[in-house]
Amino acid sequence: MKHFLFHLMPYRDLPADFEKKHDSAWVWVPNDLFDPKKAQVYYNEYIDQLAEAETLGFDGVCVNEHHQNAYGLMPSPNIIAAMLAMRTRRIKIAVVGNALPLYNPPTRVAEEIAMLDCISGGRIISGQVIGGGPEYFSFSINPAEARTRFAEAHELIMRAWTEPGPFEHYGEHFKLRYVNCWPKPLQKPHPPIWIPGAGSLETMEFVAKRRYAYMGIPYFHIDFFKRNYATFRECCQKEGYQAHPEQMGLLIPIYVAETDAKAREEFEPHFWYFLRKLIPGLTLSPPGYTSTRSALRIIKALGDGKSFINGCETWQDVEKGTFAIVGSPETVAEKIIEHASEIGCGNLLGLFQLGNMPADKARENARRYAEAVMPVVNRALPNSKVPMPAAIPFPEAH
Amino acid sequence: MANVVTHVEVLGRRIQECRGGSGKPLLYLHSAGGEAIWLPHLTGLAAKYELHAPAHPGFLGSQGIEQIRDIEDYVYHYLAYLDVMGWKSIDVVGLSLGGWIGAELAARYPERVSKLVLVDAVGIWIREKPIADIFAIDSRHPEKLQQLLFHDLEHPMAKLMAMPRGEGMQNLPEEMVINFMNALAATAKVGWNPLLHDPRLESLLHRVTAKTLCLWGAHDRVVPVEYGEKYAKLIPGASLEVIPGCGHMLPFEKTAEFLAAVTRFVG
Repeated sequence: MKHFLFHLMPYRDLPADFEKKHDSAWVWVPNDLFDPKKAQVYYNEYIDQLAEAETLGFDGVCVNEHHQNAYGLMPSPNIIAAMLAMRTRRIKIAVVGNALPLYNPPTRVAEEIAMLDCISGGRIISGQVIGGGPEYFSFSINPAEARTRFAEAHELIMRAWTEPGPFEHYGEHFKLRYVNCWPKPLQKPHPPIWIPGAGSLETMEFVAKRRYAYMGIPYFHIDFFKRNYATFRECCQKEGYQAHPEQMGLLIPIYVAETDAKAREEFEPHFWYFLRKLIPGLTLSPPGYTSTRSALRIIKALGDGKSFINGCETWQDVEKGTFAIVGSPETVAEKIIEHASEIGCGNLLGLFQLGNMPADKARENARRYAEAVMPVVNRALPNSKVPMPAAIPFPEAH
Repeated sequence: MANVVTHVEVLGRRIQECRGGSGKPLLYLHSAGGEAIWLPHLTGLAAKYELHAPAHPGFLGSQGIEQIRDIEDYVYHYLAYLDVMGWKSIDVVGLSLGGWIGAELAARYPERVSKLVLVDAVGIWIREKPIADIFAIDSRHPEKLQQLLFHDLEHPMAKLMAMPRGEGMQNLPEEMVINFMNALAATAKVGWNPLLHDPRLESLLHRVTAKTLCLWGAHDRVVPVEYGEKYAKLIPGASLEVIPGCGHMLPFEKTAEFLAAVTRFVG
């Protein structure tokens, strides 16, 4: 198993009555609630937590991109990745991801990831995402164009990394007379590509076809993940190969303490802060953002209202859906082994800081996980000896 | 002619339309709601005119949304539609989004529109009175859409419109959900940003030669009555008629007043 420490960089000090006055932590959340003095502390603590993942023995770290919200203070994950490139020597740095439709021209992503890959000595994983629904409000990008912009931007970036430049790109959304990526990435033919998805069939088919890695978007009921990964494996089968474990990742909040009772007691308040203050607004789905076919599939899958984290009302709901893995090292290891082996994933992306969890708790949590959980998981689920399948280049690349 | 739902081919796109009645041909352009279905205000129009209410590409059974990039593409679609129908010039009634398309058509191709009724039309912008962001309605609160669209929340059509969205959608007939999602997506495609208007239109409205009536709900909370005043000021010779006790969905909420105003004006 490959272990990644994922950080959202949340705003920790929203007022106690926040959810009574505001129904969203996204897009329209008034920014007079933002205190830069607090952010100075958060950013430095969060970067320390990420950098420390290397000494703790993690395989990598993950950063991601969100705009105009209190849930994650990382509008530019590439800036954080740049700092981590300098503060670490060994671990992978996964940017999961850059929201391609928000970049114009998207060759900016090709340039920045190539810079990071050179600086870090080839340790970058390039996550490429459509971006959450709220980003389309925050950037005024047309959600009805989300899928086609993503597809065009993705292909353009891959070509920019692999094809000799300069070349011309006159697409539906982007018109570029000269594409000539300087610098190019150190990893050949390009850094590994991770594509997050929430269960849309189109995304899974695309990822399977190109032999990238599929990362399930978090906060769904564990059964929803299991169904989705089963579908993803079928998509790979249809492409004529077996899905590699490292083509799949489980992203989930994790908390480890001496005992189950202590873990829950320490973790639970931060979970409710996260759920009640930061999650509302995350699920905004602007018109056209998802194809009608996929939207219907997701609506059906979410049928009972208990399949997404925002349906949790009690701690029993949290446990029942495995919306977080919380407990003693033995409990946490046991649950990870159970779910990861069923899903068949070779990457575990843990959120060790959640909601308003303070720095000391978050660091202690990651340390306990690394010392007492990671070795147990690795014994039960050793890394695959088979190499990852090579990504399929775009036809134009030859 | 009996009131039917039929199809017509425009630029290779199969277009669905409500067609019925006899007399002068009248073209009804529907709103973001996609009401090219036999609702009372359309049967009312078909009682006086040969009514044609096509669904725009992307709405109901009409194809071709892939080729629509912005409002101008809808204008070219309707230009081709008029040619297919063999109308040199036509009387147009457009509600909201449909009004915007009608205004664009009449401004760019004045010779093709004889009379124009703009009902609570979007399409222009007033900085001090922004159009309500219908796309930002939280799916957890479908009643907010109803409050935006209607003045009288007890009106039977208003109750029908308070359609559950998001998770609640699973209890509705699948076809209805598909139509609703497609309608919003098509509207977003042409009206996401800038929100439901074309910054160029304002400077083109002086070209309109159609005799124009701006028909507005006094309590329109999506496109306030100031938009009716502005349209009436910018279109040469246009008049404004305001219906009291009425919100945005004027033909739904005040069907009799709508029919009376249209027939009085169109003749």
